[in-house]
Amino acid sequence: MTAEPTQQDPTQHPTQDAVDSGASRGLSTQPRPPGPFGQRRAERIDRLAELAATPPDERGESLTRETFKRLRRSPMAIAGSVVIAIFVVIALVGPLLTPPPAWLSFLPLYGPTAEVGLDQIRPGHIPGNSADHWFGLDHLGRDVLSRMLFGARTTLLVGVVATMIGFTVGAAIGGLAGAANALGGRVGRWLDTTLMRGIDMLLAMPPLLLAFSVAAVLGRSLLAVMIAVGVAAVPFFARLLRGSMIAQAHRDYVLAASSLGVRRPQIVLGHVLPNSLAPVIVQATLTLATAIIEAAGLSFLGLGNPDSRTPEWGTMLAQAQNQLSVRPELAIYPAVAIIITALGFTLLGEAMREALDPKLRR
Amino acid sequence: MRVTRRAAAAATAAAMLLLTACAESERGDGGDDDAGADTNATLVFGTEGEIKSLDPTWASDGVTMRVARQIFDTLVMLEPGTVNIVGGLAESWESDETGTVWTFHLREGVTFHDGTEFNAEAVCFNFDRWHNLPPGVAQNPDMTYYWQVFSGGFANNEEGRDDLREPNYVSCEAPDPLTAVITLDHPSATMPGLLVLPCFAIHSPTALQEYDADAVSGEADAPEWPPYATEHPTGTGPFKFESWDQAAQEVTLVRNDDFWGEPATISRLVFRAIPDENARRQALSAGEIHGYDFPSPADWEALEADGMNLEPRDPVNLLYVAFTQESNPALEDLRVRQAIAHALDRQGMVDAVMPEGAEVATQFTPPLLDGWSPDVPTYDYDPDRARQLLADAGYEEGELELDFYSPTDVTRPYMPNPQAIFDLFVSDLEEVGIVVNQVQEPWTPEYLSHVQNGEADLHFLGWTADYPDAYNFIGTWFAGYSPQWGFRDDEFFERMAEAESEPDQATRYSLYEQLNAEIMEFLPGVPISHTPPAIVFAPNVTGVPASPLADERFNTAQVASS
Amino acid sequence: MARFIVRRLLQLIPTLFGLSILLFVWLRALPGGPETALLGERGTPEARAAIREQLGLDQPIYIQYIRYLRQLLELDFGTSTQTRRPVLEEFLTRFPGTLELAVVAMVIAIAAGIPLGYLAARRRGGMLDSLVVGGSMIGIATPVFFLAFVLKWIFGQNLGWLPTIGRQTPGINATHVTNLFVLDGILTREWDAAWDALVHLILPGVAVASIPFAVIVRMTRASVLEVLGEDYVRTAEAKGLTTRVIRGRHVLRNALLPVVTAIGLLAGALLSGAVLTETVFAFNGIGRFVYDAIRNADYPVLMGFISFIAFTFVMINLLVDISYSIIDPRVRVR
Repeated sequence: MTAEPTQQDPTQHPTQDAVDSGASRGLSTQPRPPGPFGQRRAERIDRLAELAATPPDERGESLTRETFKRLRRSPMAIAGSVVIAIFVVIALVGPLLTPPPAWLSFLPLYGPTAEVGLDQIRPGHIPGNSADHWFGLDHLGRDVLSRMLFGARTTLLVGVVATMIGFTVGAAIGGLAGAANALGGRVGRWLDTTLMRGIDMLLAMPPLLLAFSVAAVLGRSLLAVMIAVGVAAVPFFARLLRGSMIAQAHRDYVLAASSLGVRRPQIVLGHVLPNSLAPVIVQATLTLATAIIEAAGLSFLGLGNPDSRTPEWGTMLAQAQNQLSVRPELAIYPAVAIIITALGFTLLGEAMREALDPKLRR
Repeated sequence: MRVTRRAAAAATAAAMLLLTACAESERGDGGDDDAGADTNATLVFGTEGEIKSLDPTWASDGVTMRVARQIFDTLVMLEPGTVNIVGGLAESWESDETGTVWTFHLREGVTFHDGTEFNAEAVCFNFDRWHNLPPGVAQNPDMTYYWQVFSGGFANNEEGRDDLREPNYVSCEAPDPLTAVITLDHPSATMPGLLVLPCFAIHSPTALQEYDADAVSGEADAPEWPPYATEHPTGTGPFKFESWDQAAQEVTLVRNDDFWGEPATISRLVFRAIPDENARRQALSAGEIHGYDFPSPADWEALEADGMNLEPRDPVNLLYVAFTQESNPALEDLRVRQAIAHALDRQGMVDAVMPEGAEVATQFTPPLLDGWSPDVPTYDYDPDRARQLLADAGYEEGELELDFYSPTDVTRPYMPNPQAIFDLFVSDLEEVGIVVNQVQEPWTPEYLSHVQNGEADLHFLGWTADYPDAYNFIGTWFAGYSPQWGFRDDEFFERMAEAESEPDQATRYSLYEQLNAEIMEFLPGVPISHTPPAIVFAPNVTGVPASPLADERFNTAQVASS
Repeated sequence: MARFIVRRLLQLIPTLFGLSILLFVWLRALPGGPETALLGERGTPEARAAIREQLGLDQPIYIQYIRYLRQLLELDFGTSTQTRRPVLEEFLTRFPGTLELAVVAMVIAIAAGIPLGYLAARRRGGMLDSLVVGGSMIGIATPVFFLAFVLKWIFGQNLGWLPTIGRQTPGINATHVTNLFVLDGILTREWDAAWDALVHLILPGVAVASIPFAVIVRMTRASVLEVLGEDYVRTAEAKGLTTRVIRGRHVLRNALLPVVTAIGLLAGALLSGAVLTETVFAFNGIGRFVYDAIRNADYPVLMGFISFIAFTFVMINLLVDISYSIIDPRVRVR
């Protein structure tokens, strides 16, 4: 294995890589075998990073193709992909159907903020599902199915934007550190160490509490939720991209390219970076799952999107607390939707990680 | 006037006797197979927050007052379940024609929990204590809010505080042990109604001195309490203080067997803080508490279905949407204000969100109080008319933009679900073509300070009566310029002041009626609703009449042993 | 050994220094600036001026930072705007509750997670294995507070088996020495009080345990699988040792080493879980206090809490390092 030797912990127990991963983020702190401060969570990420550098196996197929082949056979990956596909379709189509266009007006769907059934609502009395309202009404007489459909887009948006923020900022930091370490001599190594010390410190914190600190500063808005959840993902991406780049930098083709006289920045941008992307995609998939759960957690804590008119699953779930004794369904629909979606991303992410990692394949 | 008061007191005292008699006979009839009331019972009441201290002198929050009401008595009290003022530690009282000299005839044979005798000296000791509180944290408006409402200031006002006036309280004398004479500088609508608040409870002078009751220090944000306020509250009430467990957030009281009134049936009374409303409801269902205050209207039906004793109170409160005219010049146009009033579907909101018994408000005074006018301009729900008025004022669809503020994560007795009300009203306003910028902020400090500083165009707020007088409502808002409303009308403010100091009650009330009609003509805001807040008890707990001003005492509570 | 510990302690200094800078920046970034955040907007101009003076906001930034550092060292986080008591005092009153909850959750997670993980690995690909792996994935995908609601609804309200509110039955007249209610009951021999407090911990404990459980179960499973494939196990089998001896002496022992050492690191999951769960069960711990603090914009409490988390994690890392260096001397070489 060509993992960079400075970061690889010699005491690392052989099994730790195989250990759970969906849990890695979310509301948990990932257990790692000990090493110097801040590196335990880091080591799992580093393992993922190494994978990009794994040489193709004996048949000489490319890593990507090999991985895809394996994914196609994995029931986990198939289940995850189906869930994600359905979710994305709903997110894309849902807002177009609420309210439905004229030619679909027979569908019992309405605008997400239309208080169509307000006159049926009394305190302590919310009608359940009916032919007109398949999922029933919420406490203000709005159609729950319409809100769920419309809310899928907001929910997806939160996940995607948060992940993108996490990725962009993380990639910038990690990429800088990685490039510095791989190519930069003493100054580069110093820069790398400093950046990574900070990142490792953040990695030691539970992500939800990190998101929570950021949200407390930003105040309440949808954008604040995205930023908070995204910031909580930054250290993961930073660590990952750096590890990945360093692992690549030790590959033979880099040596070959540099001995052929290709300029260093060109090697980094043209070869190292693209080759480092596979683990990032895995991490992004897992991050999408946790972003959705964390956004719900922030809503519950009162740091979510204050605008309860625009539906978002996490906000809907947090809001339904007040109606639990009247209509528990109001909480169950968004909760189940969140669980299934998060599960979908987790399954796919896990399957991809397994497919990438020869150790997990036995 | 003197005669009517005394007669009222006598009549209500008689009514009280009757009431208890009825209650007893009912119990007798129904309770044959029941084991009946348990005299060893513990009653646990869930409160929405923790008490601030045990000395109600410093209180302005409902939880602290609720606990204090069990330990202390006031000179005048509210008849249980009503807004009528009746005798407490004073059996009767009268004022002279000027409305400035008030004579209280005290109850005989009352002793404090520490054995000190209750008499006129003790009354005057208490009033003088409040009057002479030293400058500093004790005079902070957060600490002695109600004394400052009552008297306006202190013997020795803190320097540099323009909000403190010459005190209205002049002196208290004790011509004999059972007569206390309180002299004011000028008549006030707060007298004697405000004295029902536990902030004016009579404490044992011995205990006050022994435990340094006035020695409060630190900042108003974080006062350091003297031992009196944390361990030794000593009153004359039906319960004595036993312990305050801050880790478990529980205050425990025990029965005062020497209580001057009807001693409590239950032997222990525990107040347990459960800030989360759902948790309170579940604690009651699980039998972990015996009652709590302000159940969410959404739960009323389910609670009653579970056999709980849910008692709605008569509403003496108001929820309103205020216009801050200075914040947005568009609101200075009466037509815009009228348009908004017509745009809001208040009835629809009340039906969907507010509990049974809630009603749409027509004016800034609840109908239960004298001074409410049957004849004021009204503004029915009429979106077309609203659009027309906006067009007349020069605003086409989408041209009028308003910042609408709403608090998050708070419920008030007059506003059980602000988020829902807000969502509905935003839809209503958008319906008539107004562009609404939603601003949602935590109740304290952001929301309250922003709306009271006049930063919102529109906002919600409400009021629950401190004492039963219409002036407690309209006087709170329209007695003078305030940034919250952002308008000046000195001529109007002057007439408010005249009404307030009118010694003759009947005249005063008719003045209030006129003022209420005028306010609705001018439309400084839209009165939304009067909401009955409820109190709820477990099926085996009876005997606590719900008070419109949340002034319940638990000495009459009966816990049936099951 | 001693040298290693000293070196680790020295390494703490730059870390804590970095943390304090982060916290300092955080406080300054709060809406309305630090004085508004600390006082609330009710603060009178005088109080505002006083706190500006106290924080030295008119001084150069490095002096402000030094003052801030001093307050941090004195554990002075100001006073809660909700309860008007010092933040530190509030935390100390409430911390025992959260600690109790965390311990119970950890016990539940370990007691259920290790055996299940082991069994799943022994019968890899079987019914139990799929259940355990699937269950732990669903556990991780479920928002903790929703799980808390469901548990409370089923076991508390519908079945009525367990209490759902608070830390003890109100009015139970228990003596409190340490504010760890279970321990208090044992110390004072008020057995019923200890039992009562313990029963109150079960439902919130299970909710908080969900994620640590999922992590432990999968970790144990993976670890056992790995060890089962090791040569020494095969050697042992070849030597004809009984299955019991192999499992007890070789497989479990070796497989559990990484699990046990990593357990300390689950503190983050426990703390996040407590913040999300305590409110649901009206459990008077730090988590619920922070929940209320968010809703009331009680910044001194939030600042204290964030400092507390940061510090706790640095300390946990340190302890884990040291304890691991005792178990595995190779670490010390680094």
